[in-house]
Amino acid sequence: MRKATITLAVGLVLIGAASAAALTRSPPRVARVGVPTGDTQDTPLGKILGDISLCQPGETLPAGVSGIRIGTWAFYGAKVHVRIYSGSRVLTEGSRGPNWTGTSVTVPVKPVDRTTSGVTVCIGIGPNSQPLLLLGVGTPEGAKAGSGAVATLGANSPTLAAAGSSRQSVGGKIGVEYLSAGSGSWWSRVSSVAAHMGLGRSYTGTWIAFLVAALTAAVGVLAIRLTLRVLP
Amino acid sequence: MSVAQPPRQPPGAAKTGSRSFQRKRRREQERASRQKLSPAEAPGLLRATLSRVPRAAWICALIALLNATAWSIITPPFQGKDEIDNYSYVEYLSAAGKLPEKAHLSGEEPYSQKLTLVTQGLHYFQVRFTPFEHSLTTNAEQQTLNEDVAKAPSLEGFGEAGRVASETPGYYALAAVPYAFGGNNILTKLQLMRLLSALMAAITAMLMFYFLREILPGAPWAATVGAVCVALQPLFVSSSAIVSPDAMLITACTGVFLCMALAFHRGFSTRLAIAMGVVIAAGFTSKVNFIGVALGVYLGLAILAVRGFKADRWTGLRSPVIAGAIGIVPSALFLLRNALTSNPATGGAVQTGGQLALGTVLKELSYSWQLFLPRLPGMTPYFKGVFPLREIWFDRSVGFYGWMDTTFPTWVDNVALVLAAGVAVLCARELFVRRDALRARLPELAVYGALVVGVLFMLGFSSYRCDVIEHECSLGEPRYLLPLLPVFGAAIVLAIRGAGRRWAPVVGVAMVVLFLGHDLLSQLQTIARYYG
Repeated sequence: MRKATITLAVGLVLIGAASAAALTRSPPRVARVGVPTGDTQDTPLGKILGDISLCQPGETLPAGVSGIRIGTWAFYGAKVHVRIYSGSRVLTEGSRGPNWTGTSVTVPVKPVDRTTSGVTVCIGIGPNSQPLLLLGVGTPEGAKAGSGAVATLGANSPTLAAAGSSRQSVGGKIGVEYLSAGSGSWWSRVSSVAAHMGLGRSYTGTWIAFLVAALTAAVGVLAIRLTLRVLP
Repeated sequence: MSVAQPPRQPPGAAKTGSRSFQRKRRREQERASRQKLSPAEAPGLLRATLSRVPRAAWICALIALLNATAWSIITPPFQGKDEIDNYSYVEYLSAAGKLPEKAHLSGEEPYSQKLTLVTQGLHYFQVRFTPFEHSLTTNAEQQTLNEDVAKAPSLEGFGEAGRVASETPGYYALAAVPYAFGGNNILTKLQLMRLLSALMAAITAMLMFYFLREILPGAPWAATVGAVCVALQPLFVSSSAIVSPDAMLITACTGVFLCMALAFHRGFSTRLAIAMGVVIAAGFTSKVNFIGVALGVYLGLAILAVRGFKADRWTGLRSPVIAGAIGIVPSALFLLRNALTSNPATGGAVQTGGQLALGTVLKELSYSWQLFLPRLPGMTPYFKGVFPLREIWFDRSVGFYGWMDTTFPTWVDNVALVLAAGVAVLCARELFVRRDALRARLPELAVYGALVVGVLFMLGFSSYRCDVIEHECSLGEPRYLLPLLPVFGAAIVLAIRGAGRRWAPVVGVAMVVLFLGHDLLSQLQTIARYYG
């Protein structure tokens, strides 16, 4: 029983520490919008059923960016690799496994010290055998002028070769947003989060956040008390 | 606190005496149980039954209820998966007094004017499926929403139920009660309907308590801890905190597992047969997906029938026949009604049946296999670059909330995988140590196995049609595995017992803390996503 009590104490301390640590982090903010991503703004640029490698020139990589959000839709995601070039030099890169779904995928990248304009964002998606939509803004004229994304089907390496001889225009610009850490931690936003929780319902008020906290606390107390009482 | 173990016959007690003596005794028990069921005594019987429920079971149910209530508030209105369609089904059923007929898959269904107005006020379509779009953040938006809600009752008519129009009506019929109590306010109606789902989560937790004690009676305390862990499991609780027939399906499936366990362990009385029939009927009427569970259910009834026939000849067949017949009636009526009215909304099962007839069975089997297991040589690859067991089923089981758009970072999935591996090792150890006991219970375990296989193949076959043929959708959501929640609960209890007598309490406490932490962090993640 003593060991179980110690385990419980350690476990609760760990939960508290993990929650506190999570709240000390800053929520991501959009440092720059290349082409907006999102459910309503985007136009499907193409449906893919296989690997694809594409490059989009004319982007600007802000300093301190820790994630690139790409406008693409899939039920079952695929591996995504992003590499950002300035000329032929790789400024930063990152990859993400296939465990995503939805209308965008955020790929973590290593932050760079200074903002660089005129970069090319190359994206490799695959191996993939599932339907996948590229989302962005359809600008055929822009694509003709060389500012749209160009893609190579059947390849999944995010290299500039994607803009090579076998390339084809995707008919616009892929949604790309640059994310970095926000200014304040979650702790500093607790009151605004509580206020937001009180909106969007038939009954409103910050008390709703306190009600949720009370319910969760009651759940914890009941679970722990019952467990301790039934232990042999 | 009472943690009384359910009354059990001593092992082998039923086998004492001659076969004719056993038959006679069973008939006497049947007669006694029939007498208890007389209508005049039914309320008293219910009271007596409820008073016999151990306090620990009530607390497990209360934990699930409070937890689901918290989740029902955290998840913004209509941001549960398919919740708008489920709401629209109930709205149609209540207003039109009949079942919806047109199924849509577009995600932009013709909902009623009032619902469309309110979802606009909620920014539903902007927030849905888009993790970086928050719910309402200003008082001005709330004011607009209030005006939309106030205007909504004046807009007559009803919409269609989107992709869920082909579902069976059991859950929706029950949800029509809180819908009616919500007055003219759509958001109040929705919250009351969510509380109905939360109540179903509480019933599931209570049934789980009994199921775990029944199948693993050696350490009742571990079964209680297992039920607590299930009541804290965030995927289950969040799925039972929205307007969704999944809540009723999970409850019915847990009831099926419990009835099967009782039938194998204590004998298949007429009373239990009626209860099982009602539970099967509830399952069939809750959601078409129950067809996957039905495979195991009817295999179980067949095995019980063979056992009954060996023991009691024709009399022994009575209980399995009663359970099977009661269970099948509602779905038979539903199919008959659809056939008579030429309603195309006959459910995915019929469509899947159509695929079977077209000779695509091998492809469907291959797809189903790859949906859960590594691809074998010679199989057409359907999931290139993805290991579905890990990247779809496991990772999404760790966190997949809201409109499939709230997940944990990959490192959390990796940590969870290590912990899950530890649980699996302990579970395997216990199974190995108790292998002799397992051998003695092979028929019962075969039924549980069939229940699992049935659910997996139903998912695979349905997903093949939707994903490979129509390219419209996929069923890669862990909520579809929740009918197998009792197996998950059993695995938790086995893992606790697998730690050995000395360390089992420590592992039990660690499990509760782990699930509590998982639940809390999942809530925080969801709050950050919608209100950050």
